[in-house]
Amino acid sequence: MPERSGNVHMFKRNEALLLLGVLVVAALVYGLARLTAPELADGARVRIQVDGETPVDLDPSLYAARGEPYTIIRNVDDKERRNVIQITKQGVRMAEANCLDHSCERMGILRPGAGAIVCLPHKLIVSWVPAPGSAPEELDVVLQ
Amino acid sequence: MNNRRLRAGKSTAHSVALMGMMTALAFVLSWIESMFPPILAAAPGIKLGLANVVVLMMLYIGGPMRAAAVSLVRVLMVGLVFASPSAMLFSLAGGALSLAMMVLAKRLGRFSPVGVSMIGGVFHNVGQIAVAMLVLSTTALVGYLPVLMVAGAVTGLATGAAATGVLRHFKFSKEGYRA
Repeated sequence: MPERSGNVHMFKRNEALLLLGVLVVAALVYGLARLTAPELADGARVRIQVDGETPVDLDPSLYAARGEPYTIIRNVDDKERRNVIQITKQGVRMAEANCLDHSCERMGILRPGAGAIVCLPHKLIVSWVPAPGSAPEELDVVLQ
Repeated sequence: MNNRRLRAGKSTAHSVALMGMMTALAFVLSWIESMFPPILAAAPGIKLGLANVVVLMMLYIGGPMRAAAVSLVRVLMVGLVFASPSAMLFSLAGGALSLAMMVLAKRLGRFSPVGVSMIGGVFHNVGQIAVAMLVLSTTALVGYLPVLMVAGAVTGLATGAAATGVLRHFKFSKEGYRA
């Protein structure tokens, strides 16, 4: 039976400082993300971007009123990629996806200003963007 | 058992057997982890990182190259057996950055295996987010970085503690593991 060395310590000052450092950096990144996030006034749009292509901006009030989901079906390498996006008054969520891991479906409701819903296997991102005209530098993106 | 033969690399056959056993162990731990529900569904990518216990142990017992080999084969096996090819890409990126930073942290000599594991956990998630942003051509995922960094540190602490519990049964000199 090998002897115990006892020279592998568990948790000391450097580890505590490391954990504190991670918390500080995480707080800084969070603060920076919040400061640089665009203001989402009334009329914010739901942006759906697939595989780096031109994004589609949807008026959530129209879809919430209709109660109909927004469905994206793409055929890539003879395989169907399907994502069903539900837009309600509370926010937007991924109602259904035929990707392998379904993690996008578990992300819940995305409210304005709260990050993005990502379907990595299908390379799809759902996010909130400011209303058209509220951020002049965004107009060119919409017009493309 | 002859302790001299426990040193990784002393005997080719033993080294191969050790790496095979560690790879299998890492694969099984990944499989077990895949059966757990997500820790935080709203922030994808948060995992326990159980397989990192094995990678960390291999780093201390066999060195960086053997740890990299075990990690690489494990990611490939997981990707082929029960994960998607895209998940394999992100795991490779995160694993590579994580291991590189763990090697650096170990060489600094200022951290225990727990600290090294925490650094590995943080940079694993940073690597995955970075690759995801490159693949998706978006910066929208930056918002997940703070949560994933903290989660990486916490899960790294847990896996480092588990690895330390095993490593304490090995002898280490100033130069490293010795039989």
